[in-house]
Amino acid sequence: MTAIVKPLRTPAETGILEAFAASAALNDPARSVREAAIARIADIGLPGRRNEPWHYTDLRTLLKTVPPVAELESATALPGAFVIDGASQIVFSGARMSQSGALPAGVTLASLPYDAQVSPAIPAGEALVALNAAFALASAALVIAPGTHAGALHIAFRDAHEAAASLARRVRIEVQAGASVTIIESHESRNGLGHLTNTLIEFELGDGAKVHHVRVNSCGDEANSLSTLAARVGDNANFATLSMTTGARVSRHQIFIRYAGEHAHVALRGVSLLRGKQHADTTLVIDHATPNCESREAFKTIVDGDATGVFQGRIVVAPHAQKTDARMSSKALLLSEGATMNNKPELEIFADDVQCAHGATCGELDDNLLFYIMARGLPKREAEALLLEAFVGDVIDEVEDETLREVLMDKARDWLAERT
Amino acid sequence: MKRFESVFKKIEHRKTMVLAMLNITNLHASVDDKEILKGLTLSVKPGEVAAIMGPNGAGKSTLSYVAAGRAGYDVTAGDVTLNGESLIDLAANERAAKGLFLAFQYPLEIPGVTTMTFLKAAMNSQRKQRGEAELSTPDFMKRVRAAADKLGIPQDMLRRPLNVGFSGGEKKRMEVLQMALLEPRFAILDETDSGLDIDALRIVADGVNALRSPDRSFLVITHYQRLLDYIKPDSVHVLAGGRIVKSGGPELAHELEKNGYRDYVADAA
Repeated sequence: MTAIVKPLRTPAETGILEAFAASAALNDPARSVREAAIARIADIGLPGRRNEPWHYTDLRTLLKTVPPVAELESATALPGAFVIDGASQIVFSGARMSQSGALPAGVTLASLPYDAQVSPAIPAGEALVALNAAFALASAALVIAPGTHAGALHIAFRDAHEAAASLARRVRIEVQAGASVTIIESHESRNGLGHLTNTLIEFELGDGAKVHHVRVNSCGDEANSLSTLAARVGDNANFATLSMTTGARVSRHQIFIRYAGEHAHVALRGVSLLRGKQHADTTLVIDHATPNCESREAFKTIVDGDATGVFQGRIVVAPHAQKTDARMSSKALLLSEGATMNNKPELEIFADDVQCAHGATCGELDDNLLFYIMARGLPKREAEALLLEAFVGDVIDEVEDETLREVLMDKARDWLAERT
Repeated sequence: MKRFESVFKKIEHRKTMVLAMLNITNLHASVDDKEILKGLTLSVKPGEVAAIMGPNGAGKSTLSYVAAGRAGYDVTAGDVTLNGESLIDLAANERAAKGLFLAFQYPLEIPGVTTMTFLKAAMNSQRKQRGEAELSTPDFMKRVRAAADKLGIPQDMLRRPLNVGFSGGEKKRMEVLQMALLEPRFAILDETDSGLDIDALRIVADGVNALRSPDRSFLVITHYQRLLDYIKPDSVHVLAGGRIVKSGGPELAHELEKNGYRDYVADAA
C-alpha cells in the first residue's frame, strides 16, 4: 500500500484557488497558460520553510488571506504619489496599464503576448512566477531599440484601491545592443489593506546595453508584496539595480541574474528599512554561466521594532566561467531587542581561476560612537540617525544618477525622521 | 567672635561655590558595581586652567566620562555643577549644550559622515537646544574656514569622513577645531598629549591656548608633566584612588615628574 501524504492546505492556499475560480477576468485568451500555472500551485502549494529558498519566509504561514482579484483600475488617485521629475511614466493601477507623456524616440510599448515563456534566468517552475502567470491581468513589453539612449522611464505601480485586492503584473524590458535606459520602478498602495501583489520584471540586455534600475517599495503597511526581478545580460553589458524597501507588511524581492556573454558587469544593491512587524526578504541568485564577468552585491538592512529581515545571496560560478570576479556583502543593524535578521550568503564555485568573496554582518550601533556624537551636542535619536544615514548612504552613493540618489536619501531620511 | 567666624567661613565657602565655574563635590561613581571615584571634590574658577595628574587606574578617564555623561557610569553620591547648575541628571548632549566639552583621548572615526556635516550638525543641534537660530550655510562655512586655517587643517580634510584615516595628530587637531567652533564654557582635555609627537603637541597646545579666556575654564587631564609645559596650568591636582589627594600650583607638576606617584599611590591604598 502506498500513501502520498500531502500537507493540509493553509487558508492562503485555499484562498488562492478560490480567488482564481472567482475571477471572470482571468477567463481570457491566456486561460490555458493560467490553468497550467494554477494546477502547479494546487500541486506544490505555497513555498514554505521546508523549501530551502523559502526557509526564512514561510508564505504558508505569513500569508493569512487572499483578497479577490482586482479587475478594474482604482477609481481614486493615491495622495502624494511618488513622481520623478523628467521621467516618462508608465502607470499600473489595478488591472490597467496606461502611459502618460510621450515615450522617447526608439522606445516602444505594447502589451505582452499571452505566452508562458519567461526569462531563462528564472529557475523552472518557480512558485512566484507561476502565481504571476496564473493571475497577471496587466502587462507591458518595452523595447529600447539598438543604440537608443532612452533616459529615465518610471514604471509606477500605484494602487489606490480602497479594499484589499490581489494584483499581479508583468513587465518585460528588452534593451537592445548598445542601448541604455534608467528604469524607476515604484510600488505604492494605501495603508491598512492586505493587498497581495505579485510583480514580475524581466530584463533582457543585448550586447553593450546599459541599464540602471531603481526600485522603491512603499506599499501600504498591511500589504503582502511579492516581486521577481530577472535579467539576462549580454556581452559587455552593464546592469545595476538598487531596491529600497520601507513598505509592506510582508515582502519578498527575488533577483535572478544570468550572464549570456562575457565582460559584463552587474551590480545588485539594496536598502531595507524595517520596523513594526514587517518581514522583508531579499533573495538573489547570480549565475555566472560565462567567463570574464563581474558582479557586485551590497545590501544594507536596518531592523527596528519586532521586524525581521532576510538576505539570501547565492553566487554560482559555472566550471568554464574562469576569471569571474564576484563580491557580495550584506550588513544589518538591529535597533531593538525584538529585531531579527537572517543572513545567508552562499558561494557555489566550480571554476578554479576566480575571485569570489562574501561577507555578512549583523550588529548594533556602536555605543562609543553614540557617546562621542552626543558629547558634541546631538540628542540620542539624532546621533543614531546620523550613523544610520551613513550606514545606508554608502550603498545609495553608488547610484549613478544624482537626482535618484537624492530621492533615495530623502526617503531614508524620512524613515529615520519618523523614529526621532 | 568664634561663632561669627564659622558663619564667615560658610559665607566664604558659598562665595567660591558661586564663583566656581565647575564644582565637583564628594563625587562617588561606579562602573559595573566597582567604585572608581570615591569622594572626589574639586572647584575650577572662571578662566582657570586646572590640571589633573595621576597614576594609571586613578580614575582620570572615569572622571571625564562621568562629567560628560557617558552611559554605564553610576553616580552613587555627590554632584557636578556647571555655573551652579547640576549636570548629573542631564544627557551628554544636554551637558554639551550647556557649554561642557570633552576632548577625547581617542577621538572616534565616523565612516560615512563628513567632518563638515558633523560640525554643522553639532553646532546647530547645540544652538537649537539653547533656543538660538541655526547658522546659515555661508556663516557656518566662514567660521569653519577661519578656525581650520588657524589650526593648519586643510580644506580637503573637512570633506573627508570624520577622523577616518587621520593620524593621531590630525585627530587631536580635529578635537581642538570642534572645541573652537562649539565655544564651550568649560573644556575637559582627556590625555590630549597621548600619541602626539612634539610638533603635533605644540600645534594642539597653541590651539588650546588661543581659546583661553576669562570666562572659559579648562580641566587638563594628563599622565605626564610634558603637556603642562605647553598649556600652563593655574592649579595642579593629584588624583589617586578616586580622590584628589593633593592640590597646589604649577610647581606640583614638576615635583611629580621628579618623584613619581609612589607616595600618593601608597596613601590612597
